[in-house]
Amino acid sequence: MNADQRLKTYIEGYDRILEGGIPINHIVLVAGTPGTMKSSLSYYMLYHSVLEGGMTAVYITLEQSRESLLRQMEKMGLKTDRVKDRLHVLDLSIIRKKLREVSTGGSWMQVFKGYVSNLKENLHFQLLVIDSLDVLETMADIADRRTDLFYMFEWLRDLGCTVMLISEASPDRLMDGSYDEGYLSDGIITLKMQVVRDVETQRRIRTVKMRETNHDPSYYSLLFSNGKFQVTKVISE
Amino acid sequence: MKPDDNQCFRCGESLQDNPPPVPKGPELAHLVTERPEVRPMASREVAHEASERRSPVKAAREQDRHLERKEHELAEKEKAIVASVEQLEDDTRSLEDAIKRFDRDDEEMRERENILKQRELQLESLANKLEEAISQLETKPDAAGDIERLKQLSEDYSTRIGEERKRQKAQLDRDIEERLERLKNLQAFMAAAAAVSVTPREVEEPEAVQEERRELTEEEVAQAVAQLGKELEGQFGTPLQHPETAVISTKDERLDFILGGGIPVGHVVIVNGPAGTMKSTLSYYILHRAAVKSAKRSMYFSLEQKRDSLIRQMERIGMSLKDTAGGMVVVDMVDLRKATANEPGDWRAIMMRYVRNVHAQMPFDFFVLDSLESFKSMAQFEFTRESMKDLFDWFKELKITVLVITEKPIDILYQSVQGETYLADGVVEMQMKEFDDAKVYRWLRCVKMRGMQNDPRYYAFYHTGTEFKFSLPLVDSGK
Repeated sequence: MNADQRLKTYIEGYDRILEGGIPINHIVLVAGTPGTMKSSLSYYMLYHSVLEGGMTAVYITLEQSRESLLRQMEKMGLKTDRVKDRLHVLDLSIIRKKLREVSTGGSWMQVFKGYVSNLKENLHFQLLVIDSLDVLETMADIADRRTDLFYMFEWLRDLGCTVMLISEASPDRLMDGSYDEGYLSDGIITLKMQVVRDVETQRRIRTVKMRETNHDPSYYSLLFSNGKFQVTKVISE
Repeated sequence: MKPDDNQCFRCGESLQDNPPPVPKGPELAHLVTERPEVRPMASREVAHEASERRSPVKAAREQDRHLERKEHELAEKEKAIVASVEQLEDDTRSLEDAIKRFDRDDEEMRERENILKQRELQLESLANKLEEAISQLETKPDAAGDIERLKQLSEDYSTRIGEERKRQKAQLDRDIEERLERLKNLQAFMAAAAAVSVTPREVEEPEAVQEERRELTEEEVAQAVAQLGKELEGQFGTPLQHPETAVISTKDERLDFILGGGIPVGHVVIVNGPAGTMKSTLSYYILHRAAVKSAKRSMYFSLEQKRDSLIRQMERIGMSLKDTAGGMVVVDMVDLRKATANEPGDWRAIMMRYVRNVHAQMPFDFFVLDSLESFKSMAQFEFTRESMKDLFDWFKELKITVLVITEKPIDILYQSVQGETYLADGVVEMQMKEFDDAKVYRWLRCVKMRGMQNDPRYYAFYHTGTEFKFSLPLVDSGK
């Protein structure tokens, strides 16, 4: 696969592990417990793809308010003003407020899909983040996960862009068979906090799965300092 | 320490005998506990007449009966509301009486102060006379020994007077301060109670009609999508309006460092840990410090421990409510919950209304909810992720910084269907760490703090009896 068919993650040291980046039009799960920087990492990738790669991107938040998210990114040194014309952070939690009393989860999903499809036609974005899959599921009242998720992934594939789905499922449980998204997605990146020798806490990143890529599935240290993400080998005793 | 404990967990001192007096909060339980008697329905005859006039079709009759029942229920409800409003008005009156009593007490105290002053004057004149007598005696040389003795006596006398005067004054000041604080709290409570008594009608009416949830037609979906597009237009191309965030310092250098600088204003932070990890104490500590050191107002809402017991517990470890000069309010609902365990009605809504009213009367910056588990159990309906989001949104609307205490094991909390740890802006986790056979330490770490570069490492901590100490734990790495 050529380098231009991959999306750089702009995370220092990580693109090498992915043979240059995430293959375009992949649907990738970003999973981790609270505080593992799922949102930050995803936004970081969008931010640099827009700033350095000249792309258009959409970040859909279903729970955290737009202001809170932007404020958080601003605090991390990602100047939202620099990307305001091509990185759109949209707070779609308002769909629920509008439809709350009258409609079912199925209608919620229809409105959601309708809106995002329109957006794709108008903005031609190449990158989409949905934060998070779990909230989307709650909103859409998904009862039959196997079928409903299958159709949702089909719809995402038809959109024709690279999608990062933020997931709250813990990495260990993601692959134990009860979570279909693990099989439906093209890639899985897990994030976790590792307690080392009882006292040290390190952030870890692992590429569990990446189709069409000969990736390294081991754990790496994920560092964030001076506004930059960096991936390094785990230094063990 | 638990409310039923009869021994202090720290020093073993018995708590049951002569507990130190604690300013008594007004009791709210009776505001809602007494339900009105149900009088016979007047509307029954009306409905009956109506049904006779109508055609004898069975369905119509059934509908009539249904309506009758509804009417009956509504009338009963209205009566209940009216009665509780009356009850609340009564309570307001009694609260007003209490305030009057306080005023009277104040006057009494002032009188006592006057009497004290007069006595002081008398004592002073006595002392003057004594001095005069001494100076007269001094003229007689043969009475030198007597004079020395008398001088000594007079000095003793005046120092004693001074001491006594000081003691009385301090006592008086303390009394006045305490009364003022109680008065202030009472006023806030009264205002809130009065507001509660006015609002219930509006709040309880809308349950009448609830539309079935239904699928939208294709047209409606298209309409909703178009409308959504319009509403979201404002979110395109607009950067953050006010990027700078205010951060509340905990006024504890180490704790601030762990949190990445403090707690950003408006954050909802989860404080998690099993029983005995000092969640309540730490939350109380943060509020108390904020009140004393940076004059931040706060409310501690305890659904677990009784107000008096909590205040006493905190006083024992150097956090007196008096130091906050009325800037910190502690409220409990223990009595209310006990009294209303089998009553219909959503206490969650009542509690929220109450907090909102107090906030309107006495705006506060900090709020502690102790605990989330109790709060969930107060809801009459299923507590879903949407309910959790509603609660957090409600906190954000009030623009207050909130600490939410939870006791569920953190790993289970991460998988909770309500997703509170994902919704929250911050998570502080506390746990007990066992070492060797006997040693148990308390550890704490800040797992998440949005917008801050928190230190995610574990810190060992303990309470010295007056303040918290945090340090990186010393662990034998050879194991």
